[in-house]
Amino acid sequence: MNSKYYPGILFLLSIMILCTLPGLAFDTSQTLEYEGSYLLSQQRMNHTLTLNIDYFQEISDDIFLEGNLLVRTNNKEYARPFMLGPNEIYLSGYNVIDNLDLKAGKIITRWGAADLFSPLDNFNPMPPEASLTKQPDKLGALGISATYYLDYSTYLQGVLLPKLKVTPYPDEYLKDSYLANYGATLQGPGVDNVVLTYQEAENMVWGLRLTHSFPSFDAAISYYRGYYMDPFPVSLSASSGVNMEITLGYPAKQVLGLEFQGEFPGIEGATLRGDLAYIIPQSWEFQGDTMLEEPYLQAVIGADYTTDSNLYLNGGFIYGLPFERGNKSSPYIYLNAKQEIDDSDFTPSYAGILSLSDMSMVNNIGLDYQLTESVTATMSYSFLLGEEQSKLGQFKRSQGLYFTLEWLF
Amino acid sequence: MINKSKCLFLILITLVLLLGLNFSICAAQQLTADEIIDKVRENQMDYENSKTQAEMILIDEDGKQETREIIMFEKEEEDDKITMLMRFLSPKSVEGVTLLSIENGDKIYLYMPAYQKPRRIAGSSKQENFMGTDFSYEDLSMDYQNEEYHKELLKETEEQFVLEVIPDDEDTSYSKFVLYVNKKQFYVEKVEFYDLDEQLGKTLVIKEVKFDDEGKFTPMEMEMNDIIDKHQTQMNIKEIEYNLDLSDSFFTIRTLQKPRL
Repeated sequence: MNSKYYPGILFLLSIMILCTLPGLAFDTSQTLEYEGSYLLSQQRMNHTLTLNIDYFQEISDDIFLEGNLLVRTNNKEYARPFMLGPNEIYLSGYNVIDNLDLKAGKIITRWGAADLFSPLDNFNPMPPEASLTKQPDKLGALGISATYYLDYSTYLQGVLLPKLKVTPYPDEYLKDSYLANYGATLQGPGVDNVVLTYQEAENMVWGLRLTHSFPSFDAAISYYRGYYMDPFPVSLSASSGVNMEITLGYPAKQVLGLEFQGEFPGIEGATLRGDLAYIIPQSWEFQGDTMLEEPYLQAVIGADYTTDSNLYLNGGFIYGLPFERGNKSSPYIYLNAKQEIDDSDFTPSYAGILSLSDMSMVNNIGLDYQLTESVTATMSYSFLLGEEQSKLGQFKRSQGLYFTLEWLF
Repeated sequence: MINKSKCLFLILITLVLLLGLNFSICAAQQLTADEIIDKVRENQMDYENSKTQAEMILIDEDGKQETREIIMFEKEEEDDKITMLMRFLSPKSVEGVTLLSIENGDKIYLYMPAYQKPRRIAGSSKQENFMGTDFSYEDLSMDYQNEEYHKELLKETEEQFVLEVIPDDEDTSYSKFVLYVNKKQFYVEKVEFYDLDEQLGKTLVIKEVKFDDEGKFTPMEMEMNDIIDKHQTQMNIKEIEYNLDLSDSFFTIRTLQKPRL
């Protein structure tokens, strides 16, 4: 690893030592993770060292200061070499007003019952990395969440974010992408620089969700009014012969949602989880192409099942991955499997998604090894079956070998 | 040398003791399975709710051990059903994982910090083991002494009544339980769990019991043995409190994410 990362690593170690000091006011729980990856597309080793500190401070019996601090250093392409900051920091109040729970600050709000790719989970962006090796934590956004309990089985949740939190694509990555896609169409090879400007979302983001617990399953209906968190091109022009000026914006969208989790008659032994979203986008055109116009549906329906031999299976159907919009949504099936082996510290796993429209497939085969009660090593190999232009083609960038070492303390 | 009156006195005492013992055996023999269970219930602690801090020791076939600390709250509902909230305090790999089992597992929710939202567990998943222990979700919330279950006194030894309990729930994963009840103090010393193929699958052994001044008992050490997987979970209770001032909303989904219980 390059010596420019050493200060970051030293700082990270200092934070770790601080967290282990007795008498620290916060209750903390830390995870230190090293991830090494050899990506086939880049033909190079990437290293990432991440310290994740969950903390809380009890202010009274029902009021807490909670949060999560992230310290990361890495040498990945386009990524910042060092990051330090709270991913979440908020005050939480339980029953401060009768039947009302509150969270205010930098928060993460998870909607949807599905385990992955929920189209109803729209308040917090994910880091911009397509990965099957793990689901990265969402990024916190400033806001307030209030949950009112009508009774023990029914509750209404309202979430308000004053400002949209967008997916933090690095500018360099966007510039390279747009240059590759549109540089030639402007005026040929003379264009070698991209100037990005952003149109910020004007309005607040908010949503309401009503959940009820039925005898054998829970169901919720929801309404979200906000924006796409990924940038869309607004305009493109050339200036001075060598500059390509691109303005990016965030189309508005409304999402009507239905989610459920539990057991359904006729499907014994499995827990079913499903999300259905009816998405009404703001009409969006770029260079004569209609990118968004008509309302569209996205859905994820999955089931959990553990066999008698401790094989955990989680599989299901997806209609529309997060990067598919409008009528580009297409069907997929997915499977996660994990086999606990008696009297062994090894746990093999598999995760895969298959596109039913072009049969492209992304796979991840992994092996966990429990070194000690608090240290786990994982080796995995991710690969794509299909062309780069296929439905799952963007996973080609993350093809490669991964090794992670995780220490919980 | 014993004189005649003393000898007569000793004979009388012996007779009284023999008669008394015989009478108590006769009385015990007359007890039905339901009456034995009633006596066990009488000897159990009466409480609206309880808070237990305990350690769970998971032991595999090779004797490898893993210790987990838990905090558990229980509430007895009006119809004798138990609602339970349980959180792992250590080790770090399971810290914060919280289980809510409402009314004997009619509804089960699991909160895992990594998911950041509660997950409902299907009723039919109740037989799955909970977080690597030998207790299934069903075991943690089951009332082996349910009044509606059919009970029969199988046999009686010098120290124990042996009862067979047949659950009538369609969704239970056990065909029967065999309860070994201490004859003197009327507490359950051992439970055998038979699967739907009538095979012995698990045994729960109560190894240490604490009695209060009124003779009410609290199991303090127990071990669950999975006969098939050759795995064992020991549960040692460190501290138990009864009748705490807990609101009704404590035993609901809203408590699952609270950082401190």
